[in-house]
Amino acid sequence: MKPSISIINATRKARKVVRVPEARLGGVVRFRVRHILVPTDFSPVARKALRYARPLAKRFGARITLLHVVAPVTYEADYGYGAVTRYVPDERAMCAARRRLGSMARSKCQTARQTAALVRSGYAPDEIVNAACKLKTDLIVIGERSARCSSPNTDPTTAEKAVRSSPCPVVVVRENGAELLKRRNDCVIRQIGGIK
Amino acid sequence: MKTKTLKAKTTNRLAVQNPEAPQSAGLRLKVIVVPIDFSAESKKALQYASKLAAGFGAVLRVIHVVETAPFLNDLPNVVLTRSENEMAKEALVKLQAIAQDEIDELIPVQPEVRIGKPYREIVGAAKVLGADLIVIATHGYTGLKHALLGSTAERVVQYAPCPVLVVRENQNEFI
Repeated sequence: MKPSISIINATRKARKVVRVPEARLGGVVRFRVRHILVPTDFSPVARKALRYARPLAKRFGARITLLHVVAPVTYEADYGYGAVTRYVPDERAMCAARRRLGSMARSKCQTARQTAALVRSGYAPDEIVNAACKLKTDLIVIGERSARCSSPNTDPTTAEKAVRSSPCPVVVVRENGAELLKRRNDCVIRQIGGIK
Repeated sequence: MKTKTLKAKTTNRLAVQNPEAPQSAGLRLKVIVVPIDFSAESKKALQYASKLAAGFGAVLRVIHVVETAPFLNDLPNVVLTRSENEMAKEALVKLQAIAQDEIDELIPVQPEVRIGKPYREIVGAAKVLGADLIVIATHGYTGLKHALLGSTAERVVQYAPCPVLVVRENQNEFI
């Protein structure tokens, strides 16, 4: 394929853009993102993470797995040899989460090749890492709330804990971070730049 | 604290645009910031960033931060063998070499060395440069090692103005 040259307005400074065959680039073609895990707690920042995951999945032809972790019900039990803490999955909450995740997958992830919903019971960071290991995901896209004390001694968030022991690269999306998503008129600007 | 910045000229390279990538993806990646500490992990992060830059037609801003040692500067009897500026200059040469060796020649790269607290400088650079993504490596220490050494990547995740891709050593790779 013969490279063609065009100008785009991708950055403030005009740059020459060379279109080269993908094989020579070794760029996106070599990415093997086949499976993206999106942990969600149904919060706005988790929805934002899903908004980032969708175009990535579309771009790479990956499938998305939505994961929600329900905290188990804990109670003290005494079987005659001292009190023990028991953890029991909260079935009612898990059923509700399954329904909600299912509807979210149907409504929000229509563009993705395939979307699955997974509900687990346990400690959120551990379950996220376990699910990523079991499903052999290539990427985790997770949201993180911005409201955080500046002291380093505060408890790390779920996203931070997941990052620390994740088996694959993690994209952390911040609540008040800059928007990476393309705005509608960006396409128009790019096309006009191309014509010039 | 005063912050000094050493910048190399943008290498005269042509931006590469994958014919399909920007149109099909709903992502707008123009500037990718990659902090480098010359470790194997950070080179891995650079690989990820360069692939993404190639795919999305983005500019790579490769940053190294020389950490200050104020507690040593304040002591009267301690003489530092090398000044921070010297270290910064050396780091800049190293960065340029890495940019030449590790990154495809068609991707625009701008190496930059800053002096200060690493996470502050990285976050500051991301804000100033209007970064769309930070690609950073982490050592992934846990337990006592984590408590003692901490992690720049974690701090960057906490304070970053944009999404952060965290890459760790010994994990599933998608490149």
